[in-house]
Amino acid sequence: MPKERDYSVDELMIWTLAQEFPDGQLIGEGANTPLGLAALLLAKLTHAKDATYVSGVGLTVDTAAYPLSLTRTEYMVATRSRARWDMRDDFSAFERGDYRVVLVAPAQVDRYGNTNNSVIGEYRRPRVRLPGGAGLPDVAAVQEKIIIYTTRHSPRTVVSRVDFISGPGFLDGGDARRRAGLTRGAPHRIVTNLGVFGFDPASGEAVLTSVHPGVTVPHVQDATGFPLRVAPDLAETPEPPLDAVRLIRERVDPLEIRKLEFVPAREREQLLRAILDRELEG
Amino acid sequence: MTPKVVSLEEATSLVADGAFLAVGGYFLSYHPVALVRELVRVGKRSLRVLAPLGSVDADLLIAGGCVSEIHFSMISLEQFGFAPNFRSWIEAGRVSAIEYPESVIIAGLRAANSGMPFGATRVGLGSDQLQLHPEFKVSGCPLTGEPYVAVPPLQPDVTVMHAPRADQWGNVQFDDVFLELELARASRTVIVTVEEIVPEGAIAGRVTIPQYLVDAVVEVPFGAHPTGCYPRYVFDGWHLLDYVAAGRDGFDGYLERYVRAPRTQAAYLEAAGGVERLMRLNRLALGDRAHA
Repeated sequence: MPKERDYSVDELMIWTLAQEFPDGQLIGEGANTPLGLAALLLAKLTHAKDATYVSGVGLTVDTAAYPLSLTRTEYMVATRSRARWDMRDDFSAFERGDYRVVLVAPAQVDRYGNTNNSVIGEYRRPRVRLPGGAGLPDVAAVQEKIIIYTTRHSPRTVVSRVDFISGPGFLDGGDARRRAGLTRGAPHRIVTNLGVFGFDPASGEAVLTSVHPGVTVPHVQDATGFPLRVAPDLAETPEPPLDAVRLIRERVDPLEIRKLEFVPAREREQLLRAILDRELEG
Repeated sequence: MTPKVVSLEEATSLVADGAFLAVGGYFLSYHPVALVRELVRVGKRSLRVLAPLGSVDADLLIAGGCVSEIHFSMISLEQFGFAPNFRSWIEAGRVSAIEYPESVIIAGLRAANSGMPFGATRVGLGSDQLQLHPEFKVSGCPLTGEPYVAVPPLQPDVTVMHAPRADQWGNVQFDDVFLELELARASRTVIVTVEEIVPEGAIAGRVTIPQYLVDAVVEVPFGAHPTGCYPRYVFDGWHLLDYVAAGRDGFDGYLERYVRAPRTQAAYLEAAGGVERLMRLNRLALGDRAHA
């Protein structure tokens, strides 16, 4: 029987992702999604206080931590930052690889860390037309560490081969990435609601390195669209310390916007309405 | 100089059927949605639309049957969900989807703006988006031999964008810009809708886009609604929920209620919740009490 826990899986994922952000460097949110942003803000409040955060919304530079917001992000960043860039500044820094660590949240990720946010099915007549890769190819081409996350680990999201490569990982594995001219950076981790994968640098394959408390390897296998490779020193994902959980609840995301990435589609509208109303009352 | 102030309807005459039309704004902010509604009302056809990070703007043009090709890096309503018409029209094969990596759009605009034959970027190598663009070429750097993607100049016929303010001569001031300056430089024709037309002196010395790049200015308060125009108003989350819901019902009801029936911006704003709603969006933009 799993023991009663003092945190939920969204908080475990936020804390796990937050550990990836380095202190003293330029950091930004590749994924304009609540969980990725919450992880960055938690890092800013804890171990990465001297990181220079450039917000992708508003392109504000050296932005202090703020509570996650649905409609007021521009206000939050504009009133908590030292300077402002335009898109040319940001992409110059980006293309040079200044944002060493970037989180992305694609609809699909495969065993070689390729990511897809473009289509499910055939490109020209897709079963599902997704919003588009946006910065996925950009992140995947030049940043040192690509951290991929998904809150819905299933055989439809963690797949053997993505339907479309929006963001290149190790492509077909081996040295395929290098042969394509991608000589910088690589997928570094996949963090899901069930566990964490690293990558075998030789083969480019994802390797399960930890499972979250209460999750078993067979459980992860059932949810994964390819035969798992499991690290010999497989661990349990460390639990978030209570002070980090408190920071998430009180300072990073008091409106519980992070829950949007976990609720079933049919409950999403109701949750969005509740968050809008809470924000208006705020 | 001649003043460049025109009406919404006059502005649409600068957009020919079949034009390559770029639309400004990013995520859920600063999209020229009032002008987009007018383009739908007057029935533009076969537009090739470039929406780098599009939302309601691109989605409404698609819903109105104005678009043959959509060029983009992402079209989304962010946390509110998929852009419903973008999704359904492409899935039905009624619009061609031509996806780009973000940096590749920027490389194409930079090439156009510096008079270079191509822009170079590492971004796109290994990505399937490259297969959608026979006009790109992967080529070795002439100095090091390293592979790069060569992107030809990206030159819209017309760009439409929304800004907080401009003077009557077409000097435009933004508080926050995405690709607007790049788009204005790259485009043959530039139409700017603004929250307000201000006296010349009010923005002198702090102009983002100088008048020589601008062809028409239209004063349209709340012209970005239901997207936002910080610090005046935030995007309208309540409206976006209704927008997504309308997508589940075929969307005709939305088009009738918010696009075809209201002939003026004032009538549209009344239909969209009137003064009470606008004050709410304004209050959210002003921030918490400590800063209000």
